[in-house]
Amino acid sequence: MYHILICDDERDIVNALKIYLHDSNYVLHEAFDGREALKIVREQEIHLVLMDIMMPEMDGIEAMVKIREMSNVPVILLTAKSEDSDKILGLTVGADDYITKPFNPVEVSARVKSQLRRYMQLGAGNVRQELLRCGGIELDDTQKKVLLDGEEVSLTPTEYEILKLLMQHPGQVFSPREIYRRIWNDMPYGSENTVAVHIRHIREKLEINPAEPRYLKVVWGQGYKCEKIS
Amino acid sequence: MKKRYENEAGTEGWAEENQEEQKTGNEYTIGWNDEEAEDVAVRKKRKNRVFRLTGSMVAKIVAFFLLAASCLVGLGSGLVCLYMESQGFYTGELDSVLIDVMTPQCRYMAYTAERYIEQGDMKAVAEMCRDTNLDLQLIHVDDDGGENVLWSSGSGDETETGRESVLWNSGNGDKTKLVTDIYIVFEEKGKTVRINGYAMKDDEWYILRAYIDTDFPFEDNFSSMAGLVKYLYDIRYILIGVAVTGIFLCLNCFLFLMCSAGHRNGREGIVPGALTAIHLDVLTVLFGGVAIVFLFFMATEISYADDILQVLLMALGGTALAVWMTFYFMDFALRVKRGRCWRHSLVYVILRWLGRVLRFLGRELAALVRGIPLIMTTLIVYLGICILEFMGVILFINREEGVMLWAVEKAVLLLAIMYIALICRKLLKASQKLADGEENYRVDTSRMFGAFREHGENLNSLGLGISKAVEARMKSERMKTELISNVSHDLKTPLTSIINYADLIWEEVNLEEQVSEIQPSESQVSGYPDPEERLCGQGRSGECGTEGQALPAGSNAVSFIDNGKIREYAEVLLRQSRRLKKLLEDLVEASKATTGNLEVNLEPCEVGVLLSQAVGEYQQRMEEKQLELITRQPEAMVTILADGRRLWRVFENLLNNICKYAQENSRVYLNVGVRGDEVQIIFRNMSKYPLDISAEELEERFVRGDKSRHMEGNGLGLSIAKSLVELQHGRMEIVIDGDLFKVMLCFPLYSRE
Repeated sequence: MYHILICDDERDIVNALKIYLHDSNYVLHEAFDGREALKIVREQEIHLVLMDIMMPEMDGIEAMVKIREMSNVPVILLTAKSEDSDKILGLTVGADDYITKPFNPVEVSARVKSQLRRYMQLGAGNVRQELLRCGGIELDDTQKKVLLDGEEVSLTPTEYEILKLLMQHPGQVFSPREIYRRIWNDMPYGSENTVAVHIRHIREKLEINPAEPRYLKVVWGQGYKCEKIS
Repeated sequence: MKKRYENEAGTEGWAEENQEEQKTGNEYTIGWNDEEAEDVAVRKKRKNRVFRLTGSMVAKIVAFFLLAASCLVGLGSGLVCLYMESQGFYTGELDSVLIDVMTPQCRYMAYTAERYIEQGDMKAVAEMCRDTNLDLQLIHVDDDGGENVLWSSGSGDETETGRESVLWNSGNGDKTKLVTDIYIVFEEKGKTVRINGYAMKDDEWYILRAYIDTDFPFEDNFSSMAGLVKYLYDIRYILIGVAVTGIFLCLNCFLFLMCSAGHRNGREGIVPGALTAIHLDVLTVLFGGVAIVFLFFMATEISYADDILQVLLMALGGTALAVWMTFYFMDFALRVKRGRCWRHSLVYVILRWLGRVLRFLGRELAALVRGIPLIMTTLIVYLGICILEFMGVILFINREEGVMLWAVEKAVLLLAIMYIALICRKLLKASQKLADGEENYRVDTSRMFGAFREHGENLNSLGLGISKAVEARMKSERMKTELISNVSHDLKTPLTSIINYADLIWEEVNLEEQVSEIQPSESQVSGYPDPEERLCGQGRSGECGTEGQALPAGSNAVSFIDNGKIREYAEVLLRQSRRLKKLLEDLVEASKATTGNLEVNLEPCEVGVLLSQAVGEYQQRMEEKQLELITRQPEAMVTILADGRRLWRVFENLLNNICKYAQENSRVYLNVGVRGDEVQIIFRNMSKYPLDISAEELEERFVRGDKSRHMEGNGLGLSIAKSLVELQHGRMEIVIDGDLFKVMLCFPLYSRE
């Protein structure tokens, strides 16, 4: 049983979210401003917070800072503020994920699930050295297995190799040409497009929203990289 | 100091003080425990005392009289001391002092004797000397320097110096001590004078030697004078002390009066006195004039008298003067305390009036000059200079001063020209700054005149206008950005609910249908709804809906409304609200891109990589639409300066358009070429629909290729793409050639390997 707190000043949205997240495994709590949310987090054991930013009394950013002072519960910001600067602010202040309104319900429940799995199952820190990890992705090179939030994902050998290369160098940008040379051990002559297609496929398998990837990022005009997340 | 005044302020002051002391003493006993009360009482008392003393009329009067008295004493004794000093009281012995003091009297007597001698009346001389402490000797001085006592009124014993021959002696040979010589010239007046057988010669020097008996056996001028001198000689040092003390006291009184001027008990601030009504300079002239007249009078009266009485008279006069001036200074101090004392003076009033008149005249004159056109003014000034020069030439031709005058005139002219040049430079600088966009620059026009000043002020107001406009524009930009983000936020919130609930309805109906499918009833389509399919089912379900009303209540609320209809409506809702969402997002982006409110981080961007990334992202979608994507790029690596994310947004928009509007089963070309210093990225595809609008129209906002607007999309894509490209210093061109739709992005080449 996971306790999820939904916090938004718009009752309709809270209700909609409650319907979407209706699951026998979830216990849903609701709050309509930051102060209330903070109160519930203090009184109740909460496993995940889904919170708006623009709220009366206390806004989401402030509430999140307060929550972070006492707990490392995953916080997903669900907000209509879609500016890049807002996203960066939210993530740097301590949010684990950022979803913009109007949201896709499937995406919301997927992200909630992902965060919960990471927090409840993988958060204990049973990290093995031979494991490569990037956020919710774990790559076990001995078993040639890739786990996303604890669930196995099937990748083709080429996709696996590309992912491994990127995960071995988190934060480093690889151009398609470089990736091709390393994986195929060959000089690319106009065959970089293959790399791009492969990476698109990997993203579709690993990311909840491939257009807005969390882990495998596209650096437009330069190449690809694996985000540096602990 | 104040304490002392208080002590000397007389019994009245004392009594008051004592009373107050007692009063405060009582206060002490009452509020003994309360330290605060005590403190307040002490402060009150102290404040009261100071205030009382400087404000007390009695204290002032007493101080005033004290001033007069001490001034009299100090000045008197000081003058006496000065007099004594001049008589050698402090340097010489008593005897020499006595001689010095008595010499004038002796001389006076000697001149009397001289007149008698000239008449040969020695008896009268002897008579004069009898019963006095003075003896006279008439002495002839030899040509070789020797003296002959011709006559002596006393004893002539000790005058046997050989060369002097005493001609006559008035005395009887008593013991005399003090000697003073008075030289006289004998003038023969008709008859020869013989004294003791010696014939006095005309135009010769003789000595009248005066002896004074220091025992002073007779009561005469000399004895009384000697008494006084002896007394003064005894107290000469005490007198200095008295003088210093007196003057010190006098100064203190003066200072106190200055301090207390204008203060009055029971009244706040500085109270004007009786004299304050008079203008300062009038008052100064009045008092100063009286003082100067008085001084002059005193000087003429006293200067040729140097005995002790005159000295005292002088002291009296000085005191009177001091008292007189004290009135003035007290009033002056009062004016200073009130501040801006010079304002209340006749000269100031007159000057101010004059200044006002001059300013008025100047203004009138300036207005007059301003009325004349600039060209005329210049001409008049030029003619004036010419006339002046001409007059100079005529007046000073052939004269040396002419050259001097010419030089001076040229120097003055140079100064004037330099001044004008300086102003011109200032104005030039200001206009330059304005042209460079420094709209906050202002010219200092305070030292300019006429047209220059006007010009400078115009420049300033121009700058002001520009800065105001810039400010207004910045403000409106800021407001626009804020508005965009606020409006989008406020629109998105309800939209979220709409989309979500439309989705929920849709899901609900779907679920219901699945349920009804399991419980065999009228089976409908399963899986993803398709508009067309549902459209044909509409008729049936509509009937079903009317029938459904008869169904028993209590079953699912949705079930007695036609499911098919609801599902279709929900789907429309969902589709349109999603479209609205997209439109909203695009609108925000378009407005941001066109107003330039987007942050653009330009960095080297490899076009080839971007192209292959585009392929990676879009290949699948293209294949679904049976489109073949063909890319062509040069062998070399071509980079441009762009913001990768923004450029990708452009690609996305263009490729989305292609996916939407390209003819199925056709090829899409994506080419990169370098032409000169320009990188061209060209998108080419065949349009599904005939393109009957111009390229320019297509770039407009909300214009779409299909005018009927059946397809999804909102016509913002190309507009956004164009704005974004322009933000990255590129340029976007659209070419329509029949069904061929071609978009060309041009960026300056950054580097090429």
